[in-house]
Amino acid sequence: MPMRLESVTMADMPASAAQEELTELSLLIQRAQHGDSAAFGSLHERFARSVHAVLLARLRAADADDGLQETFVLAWRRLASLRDPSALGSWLHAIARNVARDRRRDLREANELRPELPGRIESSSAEKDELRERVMEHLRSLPDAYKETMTMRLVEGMSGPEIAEATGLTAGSVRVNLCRGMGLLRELLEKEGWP
Amino acid sequence: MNDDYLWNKTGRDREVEALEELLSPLGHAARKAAPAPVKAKARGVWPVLAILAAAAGIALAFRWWMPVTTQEASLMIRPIAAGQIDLKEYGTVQVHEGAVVSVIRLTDEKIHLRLERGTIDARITLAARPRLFQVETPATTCVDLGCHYTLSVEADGSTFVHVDLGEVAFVEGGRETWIPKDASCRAWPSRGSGTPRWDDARPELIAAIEALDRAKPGESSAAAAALIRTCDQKRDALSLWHLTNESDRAVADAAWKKLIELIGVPEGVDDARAAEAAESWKRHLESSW
Repeated sequence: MPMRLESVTMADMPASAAQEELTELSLLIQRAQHGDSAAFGSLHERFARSVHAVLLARLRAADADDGLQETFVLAWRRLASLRDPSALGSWLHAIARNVARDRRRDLREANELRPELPGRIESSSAEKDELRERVMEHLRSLPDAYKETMTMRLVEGMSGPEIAEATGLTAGSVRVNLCRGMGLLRELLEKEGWP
Repeated sequence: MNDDYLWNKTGRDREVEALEELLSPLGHAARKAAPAPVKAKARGVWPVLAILAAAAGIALAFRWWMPVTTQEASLMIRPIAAGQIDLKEYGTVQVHEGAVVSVIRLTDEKIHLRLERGTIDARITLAARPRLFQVETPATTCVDLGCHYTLSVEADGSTFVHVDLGEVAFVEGGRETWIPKDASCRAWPSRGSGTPRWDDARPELIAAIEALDRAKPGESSAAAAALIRTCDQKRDALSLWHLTNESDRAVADAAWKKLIELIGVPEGVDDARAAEAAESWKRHLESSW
C-alpha cells in the first residue's frame, strides 16, 4: 500500500514554489560566501537542529553542543567550496559526522569517554536523566540512517517533511527510516520494560 | 500501526509523545533556551559571561557572526574590534586595533577566544586555574598556564607569542610546546608550533632555530641536529627540551643526551623520559636558568 503524505517537502512542492525556496537558499549561500555573516546566521538558524541531531546521534549532549559550534565554524571557513545550494544540508551533515568522528577519537585518546549513565540515582530528576541517557544510547546504537532521522524527530522535534527538506532525502525515505527506526527502538526499549 | 504522528505530528501516539517529552531537553532549541543550572562550586561564571558579552557590545566595529551555545548561556559571537575584555578576577585581554577576536566558549571549565588576525595582550591572574583561558589561532591553541603574554596572528595565520610573565603552551593535537617567561615562539597553520627561544638568545642560536622552523620536509633532521650542536649553554635547554619531543627518534635521543649533559637529570626522577617526569623537568629547567 502506498504511503500517504499529508505534508509536502520541497520535492513535493509545485515546481515554482520549490524553485523559489531554492533560489532563496542560493541567495543566502551566495551572500554568506561573500562574507555576509547575517546570511550565514540565517543558514545556521535553518540547519542548526538537524546538524545538532547528527552530532547527538553520535556524541553526548555537551559534546554535541561543542560539535555544533565547530561544525558551523568549519562550514563558514569552507563555504566557498560549496557549489550546489541544494546540497547544503547534506554538506553540513557530512561535516558534522566528521566532527563527531574526530571528537570521539580525541575523547578516546584522552581516555575521557566517561560512562554516559550516572553511577547512582539521587533524585527523580537524576532518574529521568538516567532514563534519557539510556534511551539516547539505544538511539545511538541504531544504524546511521535511522539514528539520525530518529534523533531529528524525537529530540529536535522536527516533522518528517522538515527532515526531508533538511537532509535532501525523499519524503518516502524519511518515512521509511522513521518507521523502521521506531520499530527497532521499540524492540530495544521493550527489553528494558519501557515505559 | 498508524504512523501519522511519527511522520507529521497529526493524531496521537502516546509512546512517541512520551519519548519526545523525555528527549526534547537534549534538543538544540531547548539547550539554547534553558541555561543549565550553575554548579554551587562555580566561580563567577555569570559575571564573566556578562562582562564578555558587554565587552562584545561596546566593540567599535563588529558584525554578527553566528549563534553559539555554551553550557551556561546562548550568545552571539562576533568579531571584537579594539578594546578591552575585562575578565574580572581572571584578568583582562587588550584587543589591539585591527584584531579580529571571537568568543568561542564560556563555561566553568574554559574561557576560549579565537584570534583570527591581529594582536591581543592577555593579562591572566592567578585566580584563573591553568588552562582555563585559551586562545585558538589558525596555527595553534595558546593555552594560559598563569601569565601575561602578547599573541599576534599574521594574515597567513602564522602566530607569534611573547610571554612577559608566567608561562603558556602552544597545543596542537597531543603536542604541547612550553613557552616560559621572557621567551617567544612561532606557529604556522600547516606545521604547528616552532621552537621556543629566549628573547635574548644568541644570534647563532636564533639562526639555527629559524633554519629548523623553516626547514622543508626531509631537511628538518639535519637542521635539528645543527641546532642541538649549537646548544651549549644551560639556558639553551629551553630549545633542547622542545626537541626531545621530536618524532625523529635520532633527533630526540640527541636532544635528550645534550639536555642531560647541560643540566643533568631532575632530582628524584628515575626515568628521565617518562611522561610523569615532565613537570619535574620543567621545574628543573626553570632552576637552571
